[in-house]
Amino acid sequence: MSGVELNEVMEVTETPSRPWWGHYPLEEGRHGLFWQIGPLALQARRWRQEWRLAWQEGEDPLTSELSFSALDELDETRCKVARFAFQESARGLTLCPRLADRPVVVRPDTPLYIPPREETIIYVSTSAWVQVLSDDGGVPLIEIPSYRPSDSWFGPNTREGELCYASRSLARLRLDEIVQRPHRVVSPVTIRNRAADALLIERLSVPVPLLPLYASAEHQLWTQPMVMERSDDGKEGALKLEEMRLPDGMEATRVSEARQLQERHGLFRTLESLFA
Amino acid sequence: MDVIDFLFSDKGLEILRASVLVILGLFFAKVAAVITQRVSEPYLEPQQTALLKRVVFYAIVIVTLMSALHQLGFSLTVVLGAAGILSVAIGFASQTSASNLISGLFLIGEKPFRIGDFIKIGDTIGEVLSIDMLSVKLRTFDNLFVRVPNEMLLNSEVTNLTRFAIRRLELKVGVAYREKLSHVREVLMQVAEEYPLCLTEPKPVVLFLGFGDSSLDLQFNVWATRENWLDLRNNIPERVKEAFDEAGIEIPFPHRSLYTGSVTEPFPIRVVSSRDDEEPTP
Repeated sequence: MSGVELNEVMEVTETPSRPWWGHYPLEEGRHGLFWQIGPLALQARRWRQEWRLAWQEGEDPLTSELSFSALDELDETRCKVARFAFQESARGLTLCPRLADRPVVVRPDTPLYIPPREETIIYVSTSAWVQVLSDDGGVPLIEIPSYRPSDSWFGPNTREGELCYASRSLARLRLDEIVQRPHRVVSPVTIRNRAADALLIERLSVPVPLLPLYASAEHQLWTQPMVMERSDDGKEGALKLEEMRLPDGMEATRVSEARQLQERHGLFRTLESLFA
Repeated sequence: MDVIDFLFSDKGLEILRASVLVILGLFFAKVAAVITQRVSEPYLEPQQTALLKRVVFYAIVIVTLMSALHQLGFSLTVVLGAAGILSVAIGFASQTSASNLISGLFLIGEKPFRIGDFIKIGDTIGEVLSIDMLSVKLRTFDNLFVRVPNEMLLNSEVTNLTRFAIRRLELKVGVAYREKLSHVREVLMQVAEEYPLCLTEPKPVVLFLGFGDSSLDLQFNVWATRENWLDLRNNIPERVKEAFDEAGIEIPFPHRSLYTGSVTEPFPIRVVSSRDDEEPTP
C-alpha cells in the first residue's frame, strides 16, 4: 500500500494510486482525516481518548468523486456524529469496504426476456458499505453505507418474504455500459434458459450478505459471478456461486469476508425466491 | 409420654406415614415441575410451559393427597363422591371463570397473538404483557394497564397490529381542481422514491378517490416496515407538503361557491378604503 497522499481528487477514468480502503495513519501535527467516497463525505477527528466521526450522505448516488485529505476541525453541519472512547486512541484509522447487510433486489427498467435456450449476463450494481476500524484494522468502530439504498420487500406476498434493499441498477447487459464507481460493487449474474419458452425477468434478488468482496487491480469492487439455470422442464434451479474471476481475466484480491455463512452445498435459494 | 405413645401406636404410624408421603409428594411435585419447565422451554411458548408446569405439579399433588388419604383409611369413594357434588356446585357458580379458563386454553393453542404483540380489541390498543389463565394483560400506549377477559377475546374481533413485517400507510390528500393529476402523481412518486424508509416494493400507489367538494381527493398508499411505520407516518406528510410547495401544487381550503339565484346577478359590493379613513366603516 503506497503512502498517504494528501488532497487527491480522482476521476474514475484514471486508476488511483491507492484504493479508498486501507490504512490511513495520521500525519504529525494533523488531527483528523476527511474522505469523499462517492456520495459519502466522512470526517474523523482524533483526541487522546477519543475518535469522533461525522458523516453526511450526498443526494446523488451516482457521483464518482473520490478524495482524501487531512483536516484539523470537524464541520458537523447536517452530519450524523458518533464518538468512540479509548484509553489511548490510535493514531490512524482503517477503512474497509463491505457489502450490504441485506439482499439487494434489482428490477430491470423494462421487462427483460431471455429467449429459449439462450443465456445472458446481468451486471447488478450495489452500494458498498464503508467499515471504519481503529488503527491498522484492529477494532471495528462503525459501518456506514456509502449510499443508503431504499428499503424494499421481496416475497410472494405481503405476509411472507424478507426485507431487502432496492437497487437503482438498470440491470445492464453489456459490460462496456457499466460505469464503475469507487463506491459501487458489481455482481455478474448469468441466467441460462434451457427451457422451450422465454423467461421473463421482472426482478432479481442478489443474496449479497452471503458473498465475499473482491477488488480488481484498478480498485474496482466485484463479487463472484453467479449462475442460475432454468432447466428443460421449466423448473428453476438454485443460484450457484462460481469461482471468482473478472471479465477481463485480471487478478482480483479479496478485500472482505461475507457477512453470513453460506447455506449447505453452496446453494442459496431457488428461483422462486430469487425472482418472486 | 402420651404424645410419643400415640405416635408409635398404629394410628400414629399411619398419620406419620401419610405426612411423610405428603411431604415427599410435594417435594417430588416441585422437582418434576421444574424439570418439565426446563425440558419444554425451548419447544413451547412461555405461557404453554407455565401451563404444563402447573398441570404436572397439581397432578402429582393430587395423586399424593389421595394416597395419603388412603393411608389414613379414608374410603376414596366417599371422597370422590363429595368431590363430585362440590364440583357441580362450584361449576354453576363459576361459569364465567370456567369459560374464561377454557377460552384461555383455546387462545394458547390458537396463538392469534404472542407476548409483545400489539393488539386492538374494541377501542383498546395495547402491548400484550401476559396471556394468563383467565385474562390477557395489556399495556396501552399511554402506559395504562388493561385486563381483558379471555372470553371477550375469543368472542370478538381482535386485530394484531404486529403480526406481519410490513404495513401500509394511507395518506389522504386533496389537490386543487386546476392541478394536472399526472403531474401530482409524478410528484408523489418522487417523494416516495426519495425517502429510503418507504419500501420500493410493494410499489407506492396513488388512488383517485373522487371529485370532492373542494378538491380532487387522492389517496397515497405507501408501505414501510412495522418498526419504521411511525416514522413514515410523521415524515411523509411533511415531505409531500414540501414537494407540493416546490411544484406549486395547491392543497385547497374548503371552497364554497355562492350564487344569488337562478339568474346570477353580481353581488352589490361597496369598496371601502382602509387605513387612510379616520371614520369607522359603516
